[in-house]
Amino acid sequence: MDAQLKPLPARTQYRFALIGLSANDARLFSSLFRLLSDRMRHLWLPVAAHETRAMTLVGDAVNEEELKVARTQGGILRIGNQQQDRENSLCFPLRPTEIMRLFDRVGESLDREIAGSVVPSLPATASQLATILHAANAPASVRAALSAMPDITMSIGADGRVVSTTPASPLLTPTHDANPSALSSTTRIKLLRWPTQQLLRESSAHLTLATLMVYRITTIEELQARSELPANVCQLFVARVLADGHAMRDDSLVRDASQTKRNPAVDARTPHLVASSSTMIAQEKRRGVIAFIRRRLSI
Amino acid sequence: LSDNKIVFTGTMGAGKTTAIAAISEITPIVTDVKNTDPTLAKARTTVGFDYGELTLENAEKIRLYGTPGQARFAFMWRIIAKGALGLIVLIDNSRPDPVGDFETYLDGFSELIGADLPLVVGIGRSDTYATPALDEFSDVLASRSIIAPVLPVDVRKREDVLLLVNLLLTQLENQV
Repeated sequence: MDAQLKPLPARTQYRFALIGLSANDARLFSSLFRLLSDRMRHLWLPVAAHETRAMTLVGDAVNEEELKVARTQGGILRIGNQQQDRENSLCFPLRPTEIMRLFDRVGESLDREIAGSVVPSLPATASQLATILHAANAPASVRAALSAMPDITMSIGADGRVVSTTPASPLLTPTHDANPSALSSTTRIKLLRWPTQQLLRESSAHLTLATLMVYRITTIEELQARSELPANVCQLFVARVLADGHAMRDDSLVRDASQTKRNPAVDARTPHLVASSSTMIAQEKRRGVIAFIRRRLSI
Repeated sequence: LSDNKIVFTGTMGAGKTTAIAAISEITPIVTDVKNTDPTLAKARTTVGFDYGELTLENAEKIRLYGTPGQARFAFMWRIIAKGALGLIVLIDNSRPDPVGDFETYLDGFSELIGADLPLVVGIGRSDTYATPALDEFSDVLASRSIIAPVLPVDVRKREDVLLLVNLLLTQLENQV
């Protein structure tokens, strides 16, 4: 019987962009942000300056045109060498606690905005809706109001998440439509293609997890054991690759596995079906070589 | 060429020699000559192959081979890579057609990759040359039903080279 993993505390997803920073400072911020992103209360996705987002982090080197565009894209926070407003800015040298505090605070503010005042001022276009639809925790009243809009039809799943939209829009496609809490730890998953760089950049753990799924139909349980990562990280990653259509979970994979389970009595009569002892020795030798290389290179 | 080897391949100037030097315990044996290709901003380039090695605790050697980059040496690629533990493809994103380069190597090693030779793809200079995006390389793999890690690398950094090897070993572990 499949053991159900404890449901994840859902993290609302928001998008933000970074503009007006030097290449070095942007790289520094991004690498620090990647390290911290798993520890934040919301799932913050960095996007390019031309993409729809809930918030923009603006550096000192911003020009007027960029700033004008940013103002049409939700809130603006400052990042620079001089802290202008402690509540709404980040100052170099960057401190992890301040980054997390700021993003958590902005996320909570957006949560409140969605839960409270968004209904009377619904955005009119599909692209403007994107930020709100990505907020999986939006209350039913908001989702109902959105679905009543004449230019868009939404199907909302039993869990309250948006399942599909008409007209279809990549921006409106929820990235979490494979509900992580619905995934069993023993569901067999097959990776169909290498995940997007956007997903891989969200956490260094994602590169490890994706590689563990190459050549191998696997389960969340197995991923957790092999990666030594927390179950919820593995679960969320699998949910994301499923939602992106880059992996499949298929009952047939379970059936295939059970059908290919070996019966010693049958194996005895059909020795050609059993891995030869020389193959097993070769595999054992290969495992040893891999372990030796890992130890030699300390990886 | 004997087993227990890891092969580095990819375009001229992508850093195959540098990558081998980053992890080899011996000074790599190189077969560089003066570069006569005016499109390539480097003084020397590999025409035979590069060789480095690692000695394991059981005294076995892991041999590290770097193939010559130019497609005219494609006949050597397969000879070198036959029986390898895995293949690391390094692509220089500053070149005129990095995706085309990538396809050349996939074609060159198609037989071995098709036989499940683990593959890792490192894209160099993607920080300064953002296009083509890394996802375009994954798209090429997907169009050939190949699943393999694609990641940005700077082979001058030893930790980046170790990461490539690490991902290769993980795939090998997936197979056994």
